[in-house]
Amino acid sequence: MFNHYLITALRNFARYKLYSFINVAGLSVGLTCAIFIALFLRDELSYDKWIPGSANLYRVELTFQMPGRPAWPLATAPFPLLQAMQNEIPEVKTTAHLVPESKTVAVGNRQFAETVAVVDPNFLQVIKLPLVSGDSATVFAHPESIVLSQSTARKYFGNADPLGKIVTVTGSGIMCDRSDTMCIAAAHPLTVTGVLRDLPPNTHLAADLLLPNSSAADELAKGFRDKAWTSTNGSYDYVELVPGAEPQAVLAKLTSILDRTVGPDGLEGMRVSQLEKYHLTPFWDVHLTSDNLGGMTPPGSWTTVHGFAIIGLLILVVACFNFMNLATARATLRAREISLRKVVGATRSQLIVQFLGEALLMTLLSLAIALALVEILLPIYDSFLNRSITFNYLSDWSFLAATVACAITAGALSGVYPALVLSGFRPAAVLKTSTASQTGSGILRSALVVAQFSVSIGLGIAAIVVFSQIRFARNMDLGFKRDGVVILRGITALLPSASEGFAQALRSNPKIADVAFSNGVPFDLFNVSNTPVQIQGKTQAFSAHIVDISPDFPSLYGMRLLAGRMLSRKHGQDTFEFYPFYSLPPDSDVDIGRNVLINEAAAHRFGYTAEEAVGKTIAGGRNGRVTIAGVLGNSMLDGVKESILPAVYVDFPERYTLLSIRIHSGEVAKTLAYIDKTWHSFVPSSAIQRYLLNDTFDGLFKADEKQGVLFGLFVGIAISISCLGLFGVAAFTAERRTKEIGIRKVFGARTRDVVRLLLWQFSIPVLIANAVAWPIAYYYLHRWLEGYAYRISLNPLYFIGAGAAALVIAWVTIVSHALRVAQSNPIRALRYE
Amino acid sequence: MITLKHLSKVYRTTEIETVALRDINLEVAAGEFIAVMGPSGCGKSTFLNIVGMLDSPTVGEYWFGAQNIAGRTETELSGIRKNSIGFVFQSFNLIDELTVTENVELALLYHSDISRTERKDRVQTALDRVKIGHRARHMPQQLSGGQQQRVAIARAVVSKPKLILADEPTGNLDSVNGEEVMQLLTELNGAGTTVVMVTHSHAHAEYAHRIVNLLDGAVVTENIRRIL
Repeated sequence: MFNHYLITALRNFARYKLYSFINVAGLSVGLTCAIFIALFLRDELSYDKWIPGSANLYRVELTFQMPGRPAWPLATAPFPLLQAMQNEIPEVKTTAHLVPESKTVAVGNRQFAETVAVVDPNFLQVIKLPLVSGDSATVFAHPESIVLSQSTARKYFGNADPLGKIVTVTGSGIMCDRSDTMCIAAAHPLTVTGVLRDLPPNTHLAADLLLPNSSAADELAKGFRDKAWTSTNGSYDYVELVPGAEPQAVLAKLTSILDRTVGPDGLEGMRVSQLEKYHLTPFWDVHLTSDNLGGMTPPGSWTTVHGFAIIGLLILVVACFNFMNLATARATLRAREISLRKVVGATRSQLIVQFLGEALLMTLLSLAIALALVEILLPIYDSFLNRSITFNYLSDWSFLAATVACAITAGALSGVYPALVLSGFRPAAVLKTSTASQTGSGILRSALVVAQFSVSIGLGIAAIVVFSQIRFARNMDLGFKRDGVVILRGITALLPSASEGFAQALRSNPKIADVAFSNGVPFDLFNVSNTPVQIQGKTQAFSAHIVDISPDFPSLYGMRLLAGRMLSRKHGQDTFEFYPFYSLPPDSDVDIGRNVLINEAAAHRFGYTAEEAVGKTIAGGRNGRVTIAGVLGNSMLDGVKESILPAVYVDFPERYTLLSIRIHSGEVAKTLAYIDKTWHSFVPSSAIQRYLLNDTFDGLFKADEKQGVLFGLFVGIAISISCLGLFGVAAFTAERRTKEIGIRKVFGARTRDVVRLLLWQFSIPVLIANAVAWPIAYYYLHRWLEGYAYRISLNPLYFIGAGAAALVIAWVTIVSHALRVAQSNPIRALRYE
Repeated sequence: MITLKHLSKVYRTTEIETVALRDINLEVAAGEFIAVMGPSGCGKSTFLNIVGMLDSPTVGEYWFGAQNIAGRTETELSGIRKNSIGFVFQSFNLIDELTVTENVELALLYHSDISRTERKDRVQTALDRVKIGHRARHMPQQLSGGQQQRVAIARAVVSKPKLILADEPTGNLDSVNGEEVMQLLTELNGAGTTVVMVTHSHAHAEYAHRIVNLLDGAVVTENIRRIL
């Protein structure tokens, strides 16, 4: 019997090649999409799970809750927190820090700018990253040691064994007292004591070089490590809890620890536990659940995971609907066979088994094609996503088995309805005339077409909105000019006495328009602090960025001066000698008379216009009182996703960490080479770290643009599958209406009347699909756009455009059938029956 | 073999009621050859469908041998059908995707008690009987009308049914092929198979033992042509 069913199925496939092709093509494409999405989701969900013994690991994350501004969630936490937790919370089994520090690594006469992970000596015993050489218990036994990743070791030493080799590490000098030239230029020879297996892409950790924080090369000042409870300075804190410990119970015990650390005086009356809220994120969930600022690697998100899962499912559903629709529409072609089988004794269940088997056979064939397509396209997919997703049938046998099971389930579900329809034929009605009336529910078939096009139109609207939002964000007025700006990091490696000389040397190049120092630049405010400020005499305070800038910073970036004047070195009071608002010694008034700039958002928060704010005194911090010399227009220094926050601009040279260089267009490579050469002449021991500001700007949109491209791709696939199905159903329907059309033509219908008739028949489901898709798309896109501080509105044209495009595509799909039938000879049509 | 008592069939929609058969009382003996005649729309096909258990009466009794057919499930009816009844249709109704052999074998596939070997033997016997064995591997599209009908007859007899129902078996054939088909049916009847045939042809009706005339769903006359 199985052989008979198989032969019947294969011969039917061969006989009706077009419909077989449409079904197999639709299912193959749908399955291919679903497999690619499943591979992506598997990769996203696999982050860090491969690290042994990490089930009870957590990352401690701090959220600042400062007055007058939204909660500020960070991926980092204060350094001293872990020691206190280890000492006072029994549920905490062990802890480990990781602090990324910018360094120059010299190997022989070669220099490399690197980010080094400075870790606790027990780090590799807490987070058990695999070592190729060396023992995790002893690699950091000696303070002046370093562990390299395999690829880093190859970069430095080629194929030679790196163990025992010496590398010289020079810091950025960021934590050095600016007058301590020994500290700034300090070079530390370190011995390679271990080689780390290259970290795979699916980890939130970034660690190509690790050195212990017992080394002299660690720049984190002891004072910071012990006492800095209200800043994090890039410290990633990990704890391992004892099995069975509840994270909430651990967090509850933090309150008393925190409130002992810094008294209310230091926080303007606030307790630390009011200012700081903590969260323990499971190690395995860091990649997906942590949208906090300052992650080591670009985070994923559950929204993306859920979104893509739904899209994959929808595309598969569209393909399955195709199958159901075509199978039932064409059922009349098999009416005679089915009736005969019933006549000779087949029961309905036997027929259901036969047709389900045909559905499964088609599904398995489609799956084989889909797997082949996945193999061929996987490298392109990886390249696009910038990942190394693999699919090995043997080692990923469980994934393959799940894929086959899903395909079989999809095939079975798609085949159930056609099997029920086909097996329900009444033989008496069929066998006399060898024809059958319309099979299955026409309403259901139309509903399936509506569902398919609803999905396609919904995805189409989403793609239009995503691209529109990206284009809007890219073209927004940022409040500053971003073109032609080079950012230099690690300025702290320059001796203070050499900073101005360096800037002059750069300015002497005619291709360089201007240079300006700061501790923050657009899209990188990592070193910018935040302090509650208020107008002296008023009670309302809010937290503001305190951005250290040299006086030429606003002009370099083309920031508008709305009122007052710019800062200038000609005005002695425009430059701070101590950190603003936190004067040393305490309680002195050294800030008085010092001038600052504010942005328009700060003026507004103070309750003034720009003009009114000039000359007012701001109080803040420990005892700072400064005067507003000018008001700048708002600038989106935080990027385009966040609202503009109030900012106070101060000239405090001690804290400069970055240099902005505006270059003229033309001969950019030569200008960059000049910058590199000048840097090297001033700081021979430190590798230059520079980037173009526009590259960072482009990087802000990379993830969204990739999403938009993927959306567009999925829209194309969903529409293609829907059109394949529509093509098949239209062909069949046109044939079935041949007699009716012949009669119409005999009575005077023209070709265009017939074409209009057929086009209208298939326009109705598409129009209904619009009515279904529009409200659903509006609801979800409205919520997605609310995640952007600056966003487009949902223009009705987006919806109309997507709907019209779907309608036109549907017409194009079916017009060939309509024309063929409309132009046929009515005599031949009337002989049809 | 077949007993119909006060059997009627009414087709009802929301607006129309059509009486296809009206109070039929008829008995068909085992081994008899019955021809059913009447104008178009008189209920001949409905009659055949009910006798063949492809449709069920609205009122009345239908006894097939000792079995009361009324109230039986579709599964039970298909079981009786496959074991006892063979069908021959005007439009042959062969499956285009199957060869001649496979078409004939179809009638045995749903008999789980017949082995593969026996199936093949019976198919060959049936093909030889209707003299179409030389076309065993051909597809139906490659055969003439008369040849296709012979294959259909082979399919009808391969399961050794007690009853053959033929719905205008010569309607699509020329006179020569029609005569051949009638000869086959007569031979089968002569071997003991009961035959109930619907026909428009008076000439072909003469092959029957008895002619039953229907008009407007009712039996109007019965003419005995030959003695059983």
